[in-house]
Amino acid sequence: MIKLEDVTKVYDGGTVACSNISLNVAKGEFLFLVGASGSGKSTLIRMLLREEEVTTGTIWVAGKDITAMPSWKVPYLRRTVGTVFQDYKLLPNKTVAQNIAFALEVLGRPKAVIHRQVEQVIDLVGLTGKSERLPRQLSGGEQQRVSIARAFVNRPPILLCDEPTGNLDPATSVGIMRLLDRINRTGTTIVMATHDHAIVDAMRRRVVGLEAGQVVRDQASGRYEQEESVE
Amino acid sequence: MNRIGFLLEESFVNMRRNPLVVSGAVLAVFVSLFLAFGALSIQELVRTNTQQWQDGTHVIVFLKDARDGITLDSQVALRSEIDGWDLVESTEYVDKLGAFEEFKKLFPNSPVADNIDPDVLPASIRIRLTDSTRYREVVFNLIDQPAVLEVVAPGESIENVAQLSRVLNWLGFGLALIQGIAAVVLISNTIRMAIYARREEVSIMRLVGASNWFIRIPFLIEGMIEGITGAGLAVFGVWIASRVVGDVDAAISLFDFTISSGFFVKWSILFLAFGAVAGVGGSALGLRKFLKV
Repeated sequence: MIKLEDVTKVYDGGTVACSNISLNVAKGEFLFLVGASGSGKSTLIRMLLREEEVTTGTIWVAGKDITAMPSWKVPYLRRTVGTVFQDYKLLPNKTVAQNIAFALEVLGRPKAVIHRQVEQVIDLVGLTGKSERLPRQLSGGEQQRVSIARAFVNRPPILLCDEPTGNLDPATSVGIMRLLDRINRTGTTIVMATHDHAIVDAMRRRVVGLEAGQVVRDQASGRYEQEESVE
Repeated sequence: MNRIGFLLEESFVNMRRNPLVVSGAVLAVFVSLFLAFGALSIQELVRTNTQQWQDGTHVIVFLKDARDGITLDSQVALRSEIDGWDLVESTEYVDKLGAFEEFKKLFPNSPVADNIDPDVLPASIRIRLTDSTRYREVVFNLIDQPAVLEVVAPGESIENVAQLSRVLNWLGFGLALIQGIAAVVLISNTIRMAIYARREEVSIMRLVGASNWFIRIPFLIEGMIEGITGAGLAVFGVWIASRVVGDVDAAISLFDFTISSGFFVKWSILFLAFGAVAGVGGSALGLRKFLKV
């Protein structure tokens, strides 16, 4: 589903964010990207979304070489990839339902279809009855659920999550991870960058460790703590 | 249909959210285009007025009469001679009675008119030239004619007015151009502010896969509405101003302050179209840097 081949990213100032990264993510897989701040996790996620371009190397997403993709096609790539961020990225003046519907409105879906899909996904993420609330009337965990709902409402085959539990307390984080796990079990490939030891340890999924922009570990059912023992 | 509705709604929601910025843009366009349209209208007034003068009499020859030993036949002979000149388009003979009628028309309430003897006023030949700028040659040929009392040519004044008209033409055009550019720049700036205010929304739109055009269109619509509204106000402003100035017309009969409706309608449409184009163009300019994928 996702394939990286010798991907290197050097920023204008000469900072190397990613160096010769090669990675294969199968369809339906759940992968944790772990590593200290500045290890290249977020850059990798941004490159998968074509928010950043690679310096060298090739990235395939859903069978398409996105490094050679003309920029006018990039929006179509983003429609096949849902994204969840630490800061939720919700529109403060739109309600829960409007925030989720926004993702479908930009695709030009008919109103009736939007209404039906939004209601379904609101139930799925456990926010039934809160569709008319504004983001500021929700807790952090609930806001992240809205963000996940917006990312998933279009049923994308891939979900990229950059520190989705970074702003949440442990109990709330567990709820979010349960939700992501449920989405993963529907066949959605999930790549999640995280600092959260407890979550990685509890989930026991594939773990890719990054350090100074390089892959230092790739384990099928890894733990967060094993990072140092591998080095 | 749903997409168009959504895009229109986005434009209106944005304008409602930033009324001050929007009013600023509309006012800026209004002021720019009002000045530009005003400059063009003044230029048009000068043009039509100089045109009227240029279309009028170019040379007037006042004739001697019987008291100076000049007979009517000599006067007629002189007119025939003038008619034969290459530069002359047409002539008109105004006899003493005609001159008296003209005098009464010029000074309708003057008691002098009642006491004046028509015989005192000289007859004249009014000459229209094929090329008004060459009036000097005609004056030169007339001066030494025995039947001629005096030669008057308003040519110099016409030349001055024509010169002024040319300067005003360029000034009006230059002013209109600068104001037009100012309108585009101001709209571009406003749209930039609008995008900056909505940068989070725009980044989310991009994130969920909205195409660049889908993001741009609400801003382009917004620019167009601002441009047309500003231009509409400018057209209305010039219309009001022309009505006010038109009323002065009656008092000052030397200069005709009426703008023809043909001129006004044509330029109103052009200014509204320019407002729309400037709005869309300004928005596009403002959007250029912000929407790289």
